[in-house]
Amino acid sequence: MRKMFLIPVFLLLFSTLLPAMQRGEEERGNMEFWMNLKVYDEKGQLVKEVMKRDPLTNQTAAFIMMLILPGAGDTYTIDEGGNSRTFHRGATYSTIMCHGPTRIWIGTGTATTPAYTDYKLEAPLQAVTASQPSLSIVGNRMNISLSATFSFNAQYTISEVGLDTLLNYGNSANTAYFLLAHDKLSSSITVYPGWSLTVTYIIWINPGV
Amino acid sequence: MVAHSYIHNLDKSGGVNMRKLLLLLCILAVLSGWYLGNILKNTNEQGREGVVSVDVIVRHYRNGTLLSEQVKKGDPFTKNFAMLIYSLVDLSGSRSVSLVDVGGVSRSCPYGTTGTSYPAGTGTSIGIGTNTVAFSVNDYALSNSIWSTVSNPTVSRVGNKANITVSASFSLSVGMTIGEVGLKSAFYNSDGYTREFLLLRDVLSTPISAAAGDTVTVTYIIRING
Repeated sequence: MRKMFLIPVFLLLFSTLLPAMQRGEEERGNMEFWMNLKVYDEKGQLVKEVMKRDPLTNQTAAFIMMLILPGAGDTYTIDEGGNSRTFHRGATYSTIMCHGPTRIWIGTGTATTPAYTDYKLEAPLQAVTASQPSLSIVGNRMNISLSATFSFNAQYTISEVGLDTLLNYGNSANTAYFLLAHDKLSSSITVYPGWSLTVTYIIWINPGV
Repeated sequence: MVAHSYIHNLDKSGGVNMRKLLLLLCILAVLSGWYLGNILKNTNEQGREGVVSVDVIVRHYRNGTLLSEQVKKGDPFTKNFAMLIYSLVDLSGSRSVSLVDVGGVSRSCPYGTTGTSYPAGTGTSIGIGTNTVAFSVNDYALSNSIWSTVSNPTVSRVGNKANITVSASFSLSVGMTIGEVGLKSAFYNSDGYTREFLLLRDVLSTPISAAAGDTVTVTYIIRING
């Protein structure tokens, strides 16, 4: 009889894990921007790994509006120089299509949370051109993955990451970088000379379908 | 004899009480675990930051009276939509994206340099159709569809969250059983024409038997960071 009281303990553990294994209905057709960060020491040993969703910026919201609702009028957004830029629908020059490098950033900003209105990192340290993105489709689930590796010759405290892309704007051949995602790490990461850090962005589409 | 019977009854009632206690503990364990699990899940996933999701609300009216309302969260995106997102970060230099139009034909939508451009100036529509086949990422059209131009979007922001809402209304001249809804947008192609491409499609939980004269409204809410 006493052993039977292990049953509620087992049920408690199982019930706690069950929600984590499920995705709610609202997560069927999500698009999610995940960031995976791996830190390696000078011997190539993995020191730390962080996996979290990166908040999307106002720029990304504007571009999604243009992709889904192209008849909705011109769009205004902020480039990484802090300049307001216009994207014209039906204009001569292509918009919302990568014109050149897509970059991953790391930075040393001290603010604890990112803002929707961020157009650049708080304290940008280094940007590396991302790898050519890969598109994977398995059933109804899709993901787009791109990464960049950073090397260090001095000690730094990394506290923020970001993703930007180069686009045409203003119905012209002019281009500018626009920040798509920006996040602050819950715990800063100190890197030393000889260390490396790899950041991978994974854009999940329909993760729950 | 009486004492033996008394002791026997005590044991019997004690066993029943233990089983009842065990059952109560099991129920409490399941409820507590489920509640705790959901708290931990939301804590780990930082709410809905970094998420774009689309909710669709379908309302059926007859003579001005609301007959039914269906809300579906997390409308799935088609491969066409994924390709548009891919083109946003594609640094290969190709500057074109391959999409499948509503006729099922693969089209190249390029970077424009000679008067044509990628997102067209007009042409986003919401549609209703009769197909009840489950969603597939390769869906490119609705069946027996009726399309209506979307309203101007309304945007609301609270902190880091933004909601973009668009809708369309259908006044039916003939009856139809509505099994699906979708959203398509227009983009220029390399052949110089504007083509339409399905970006969202979902199957209704319960098909709507709409009669001639009925009105159906479809509202999409695009949620960013929440």
